[in-house]
Amino acid sequence: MPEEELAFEAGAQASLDSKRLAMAQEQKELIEALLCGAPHPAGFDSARLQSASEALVRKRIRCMQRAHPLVQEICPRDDHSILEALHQFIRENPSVHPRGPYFDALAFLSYLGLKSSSRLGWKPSRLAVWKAACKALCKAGLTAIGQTKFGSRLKRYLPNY
Amino acid sequence: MAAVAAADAVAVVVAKMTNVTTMTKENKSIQTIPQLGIGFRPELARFIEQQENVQFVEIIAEDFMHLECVPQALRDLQKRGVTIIPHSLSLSVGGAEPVAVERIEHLNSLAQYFDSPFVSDHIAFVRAGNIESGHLLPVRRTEANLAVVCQNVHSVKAGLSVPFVLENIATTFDWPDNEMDEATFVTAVLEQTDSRLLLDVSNLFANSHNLKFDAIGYLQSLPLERLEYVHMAGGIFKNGLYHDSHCHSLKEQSLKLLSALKGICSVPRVMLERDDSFPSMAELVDELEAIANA
Repeated sequence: MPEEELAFEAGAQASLDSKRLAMAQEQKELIEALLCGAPHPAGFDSARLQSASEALVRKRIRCMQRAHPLVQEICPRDDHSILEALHQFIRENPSVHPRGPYFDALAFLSYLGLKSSSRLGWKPSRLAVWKAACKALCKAGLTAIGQTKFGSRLKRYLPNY
Repeated sequence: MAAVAAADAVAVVVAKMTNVTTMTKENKSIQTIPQLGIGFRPELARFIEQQENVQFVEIIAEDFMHLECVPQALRDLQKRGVTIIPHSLSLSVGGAEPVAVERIEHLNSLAQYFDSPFVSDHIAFVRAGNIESGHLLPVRRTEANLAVVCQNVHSVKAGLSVPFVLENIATTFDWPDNEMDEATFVTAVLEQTDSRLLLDVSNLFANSHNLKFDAIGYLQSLPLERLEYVHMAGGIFKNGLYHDSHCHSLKEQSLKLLSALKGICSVPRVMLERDDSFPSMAELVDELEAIANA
């Protein structure tokens, strides 16, 4: 490639790199405002950002509940400490797990200590997890499925089990 | 006359099966009937199996990180001739970082596994400063950011063996100092990268409501010849804002917008997205019928 073209390409790449740097900074400021409680960047509608921030927490909880039935099973219990623990977990871990909601849910269950000594006062069995999953499926219109066969049915429809 | 009407009715049925433009005996184009699809979710898998009119399903690419965990129900749909479209949420082509090669490879491996005609993701960013948002966030619409997005899209396309389709997102807030409107930005990305369009009509309704712009004007300024398929999803009004939740019923406003789109251009495929608070099968059937008939 002629020298002039090489110089032009190098210049274009340097220009793009500098655009990426500026973009990274503005996106970091926004994401920290939305998820980490950082100050809102100048010029944004604060009320809208606050509303979006709350919606993101709600969505994260919904995704975790859907990805792992056990999270759904333990959250609606009258014990508000679980929901408080979930919000505390999100405050301490503002980033969603990079591998997605299922691993986010596992991280929360691990945070609760469910894999070792239970902070809930009970330890869910594998059967409890499957029953919770079955309940979720039944709620979704699968009431015709025989309960005794739910194991094989789950395997047919769920990628994570 | 009755025979002509009957022939036209048969033509409509045939078009429904084959997605071709319906023609009368006078050779006048009536409309293209879109293929009907739905987002594949484990909770909906059995429902989808029972819908013979569903011609394609969209899968979330991140739900199938290993091909061995693809459920039998999905493999059976493919055997039945249902098209499987991998839809990614995590490429972050609107992000400042270059797109990770392994994410592109994964998306491409799904396309090859399912013999998909194309794959899709969003014009959005999902991570910054080592934080994953778990949500699609809007890009500030400037010439500088457009150049970065286009380079990201080019890198994705270079790693794919099938066409890349890009979707508009929903948001309840916007950047304060955009240099162009959303339709201009989306159009520029599609044209500068020669990509196809996934138009989320419900996202468009959400943004037109939340950010106060004319949805029809937006539609008319898009390069609709690039339209590959359409998303439809339900949402909820809360404190004056419209949230595209995917866990509430379809709204009349979105259906009207879909109808307007069908009046402007040929829509190849349209699909329903439902992610949570799954309704009864009857309600899902009604929603599928509503988007088919809009």
